[in-house]
Amino acid sequence: MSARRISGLWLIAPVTVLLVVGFLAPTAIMGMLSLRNYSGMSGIGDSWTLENYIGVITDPFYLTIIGRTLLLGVIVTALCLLLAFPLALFILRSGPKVQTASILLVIFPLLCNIVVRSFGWMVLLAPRGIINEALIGAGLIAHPLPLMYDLTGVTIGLVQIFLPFMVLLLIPALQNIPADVEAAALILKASRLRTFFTITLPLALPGILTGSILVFVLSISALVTPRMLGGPTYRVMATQIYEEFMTNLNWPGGAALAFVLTVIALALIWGANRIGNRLTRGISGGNS
Amino acid sequence: MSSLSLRSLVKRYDETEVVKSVSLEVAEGEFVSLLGPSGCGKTTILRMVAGLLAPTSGQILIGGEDVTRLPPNRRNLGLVFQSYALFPHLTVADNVAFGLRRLGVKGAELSGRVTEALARVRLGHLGDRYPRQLSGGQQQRVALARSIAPRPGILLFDEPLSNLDAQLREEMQIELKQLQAELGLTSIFVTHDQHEAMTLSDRICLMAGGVIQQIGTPEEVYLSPATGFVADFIGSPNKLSGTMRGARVDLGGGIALTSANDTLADGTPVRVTLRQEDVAIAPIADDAGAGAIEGTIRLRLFEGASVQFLVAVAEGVELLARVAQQDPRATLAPGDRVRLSVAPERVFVAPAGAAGA
Amino acid sequence: MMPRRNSVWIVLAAAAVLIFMNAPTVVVVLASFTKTTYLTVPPKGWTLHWFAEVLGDDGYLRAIGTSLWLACAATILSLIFGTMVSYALHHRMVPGREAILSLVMAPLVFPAVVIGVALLQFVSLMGLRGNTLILVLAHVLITLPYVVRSAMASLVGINPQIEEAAQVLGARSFTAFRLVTLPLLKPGLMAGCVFSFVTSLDNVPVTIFLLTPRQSTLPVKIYAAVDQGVDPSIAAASTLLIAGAAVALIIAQWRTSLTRFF
Repeated sequence: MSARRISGLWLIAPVTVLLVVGFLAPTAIMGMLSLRNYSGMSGIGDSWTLENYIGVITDPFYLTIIGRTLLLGVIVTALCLLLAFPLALFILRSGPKVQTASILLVIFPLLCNIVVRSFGWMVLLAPRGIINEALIGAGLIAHPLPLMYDLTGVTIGLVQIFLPFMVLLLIPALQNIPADVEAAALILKASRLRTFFTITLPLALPGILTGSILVFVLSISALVTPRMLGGPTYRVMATQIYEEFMTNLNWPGGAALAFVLTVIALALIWGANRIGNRLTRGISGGNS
Repeated sequence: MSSLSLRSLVKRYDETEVVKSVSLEVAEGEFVSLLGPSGCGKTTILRMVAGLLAPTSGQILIGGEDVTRLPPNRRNLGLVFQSYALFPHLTVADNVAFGLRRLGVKGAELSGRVTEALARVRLGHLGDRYPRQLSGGQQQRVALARSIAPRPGILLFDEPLSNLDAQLREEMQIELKQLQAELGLTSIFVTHDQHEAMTLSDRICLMAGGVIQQIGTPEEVYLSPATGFVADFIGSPNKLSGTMRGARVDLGGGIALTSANDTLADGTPVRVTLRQEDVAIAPIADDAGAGAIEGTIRLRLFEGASVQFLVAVAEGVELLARVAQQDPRATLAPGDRVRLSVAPERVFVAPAGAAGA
Repeated sequence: MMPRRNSVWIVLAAAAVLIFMNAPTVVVVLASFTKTTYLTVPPKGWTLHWFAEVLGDDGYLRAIGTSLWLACAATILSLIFGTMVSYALHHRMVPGREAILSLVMAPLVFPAVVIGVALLQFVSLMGLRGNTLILVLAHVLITLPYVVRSAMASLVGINPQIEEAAQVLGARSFTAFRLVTLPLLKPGLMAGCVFSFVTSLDNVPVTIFLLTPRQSTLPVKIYAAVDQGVDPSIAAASTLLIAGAAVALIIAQWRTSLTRFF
């Protein structure tokens, strides 16, 4: 073995150990645990079983939670796209000063704590929160609107939290569209709107896909925001996993649910990568 | 100054042998070029000498000491890169001081030697600048000053001039040659440019396919190429194929030339190399002597210092000939009938399909 | 891209989205100064009372302390290990480059709550629950992707020959790295450092599973406090975290003009 190879192994040693001890081994052990039965006494039983998985994918309680989580992911992703697009276009078309200022305003919430941001939404959306008080004060409504402890609140919170990612991924995606392609479409007398849908949008598709998958995966995995804005009863997969581990002490069941969540997330990323590769190849004419 | 010897040096990557048992002796103060096309192994050899690459087998001796297993920092070498590889975050003076500091040189001696090295490359006034503030030629000089400042035993050059434009390259060649002669530096110079190699070197080591084709002075390599490859690589050759007929080479179309090479058997298919400058051209009226071939000028290419003629001598056989611009024959024009001749010792023949290409 | 004028609609939409994105933080900051005992915006009167309350509370102070040293330790270790692994991967010194890189980047997309519970299970089985070192290592794991990403991006821009030049000039390979490559990596690592610090400081979904009941970090403390009832001291504690983020952003923009990276 060459000296270079030996020093290379030294250089990756700490991270490799960390990945094995802190990531691979725990995940593998959890995988094994998800195949153990649940015993009311010690939490983890002695025999092997598929019960936990069967429970997760047949019990209406779990199925409701899984369905709700996925629906939440779809809504959050769609809203993020819808809101990120005009902002990304605006940033791209602005002068350098406005550009820098807007990007800082996009990055700033990203750096702010998720607990703090969710707390901010609680202050705004609560039944006696700022929005409801303002609306009642203005005489527009008689009773507070239910903005929290349901899909609305969790959606608003998650959209705000993941919007920066979408904007920051859309900017390069839209930037890569050659200006002359759009200009050519306009010269050919396509309307602005039509140009947007037939030229801009398809060319930005790989970036849109990357951003959407990221936001979707992060949304379905989110723990803090759904717990704070959804309250203790409006459960999603991540909060249910937390409950199983910390309150019910049903570790095998929690592990099975955690694995289902992981499989959904990884399968989506894997699939998106494959589609993304095909899209990129189609656009660049196969010279990548 | 140190001598350098390479003994049966081999570098193998998986199945491919990039350098195949190369042995070379370089004397103290000698300037040797490693010349060859890209992929011939010349840069690999240089990197092995520098210690940046470990040889698969063989030995490297610097000043008689075996350094094969020593890391680059303990070989006392200078290396000038094609990309200059200046430290972008350090000033010119700090770049030059880098090697001296590693030797523990400090204070007045340090600044003195930095100043001296910069003065040698005529950049004494630019010590405070950063590399990005300099032109390509100036950066190249800084790289040179940085390499000579610690007084290395051997100076290695990895195509150092190929990023410069043609005029600057010629200036730097002269400067480099002067500096090397003044300091008496043992130098190994890797290049693919034959003119550069011939201008600068005491000896040229011409390489192809990981093998040394010929080692010799520029005159030897130019005048008596050892292999067909050398003949083809050096000068601006006409490359033809033919068959040996006694002492003559049949080029087809009724054209034949006499060659001084009489070692090849009758009927052997050969590659024939004729340098453009060796092809004598004369108006048909003149007596061009024995072995002359008649032909018609097709093209006249004015190159400044010289004029090139493309002459059709037979069906499918064309030869390029070159004469100096001041030569009266330079006024010949397309359509003129001319006589071409080549001295027998300038007709290089090698068996067709021989190794080295 | 051809600079094209923004239509009024795009400007309005973009402004609305920017307001939406920054509304909760603005609300929290404003609410933290109120004289009332309930949260209200705009604040009724101005007082620093709630900040004094937070900074006089032992629980909050310990949580702030834990958050800060944890973020510092995790960032420093991430910088060291991340730079090491990036260097080896960039120079292809070891096989399996893509596999290692994907594994290092995995915590970015791998559900954080899953990493949290997996680690919880692991440390329980090993009898290491509440072990501080495990907490630090978990944070290194989640901050590493930011350091590695910025280090890899910076390494691409460095001519590999300059380190060789330093070696030939007499520097040992580590000296060559320290004197030449490291100074050139600094600006890129700075961005990774800021993101790493903020990520560690913010983390709840992994941290919450690894703390003992007596331990807390600031965000976990706020998270727990919200469950027990909302009052302006929570807003004050949150404002401290927001101020931290603002400082990080200013440093990053000033030292490396962060916006360039996007």
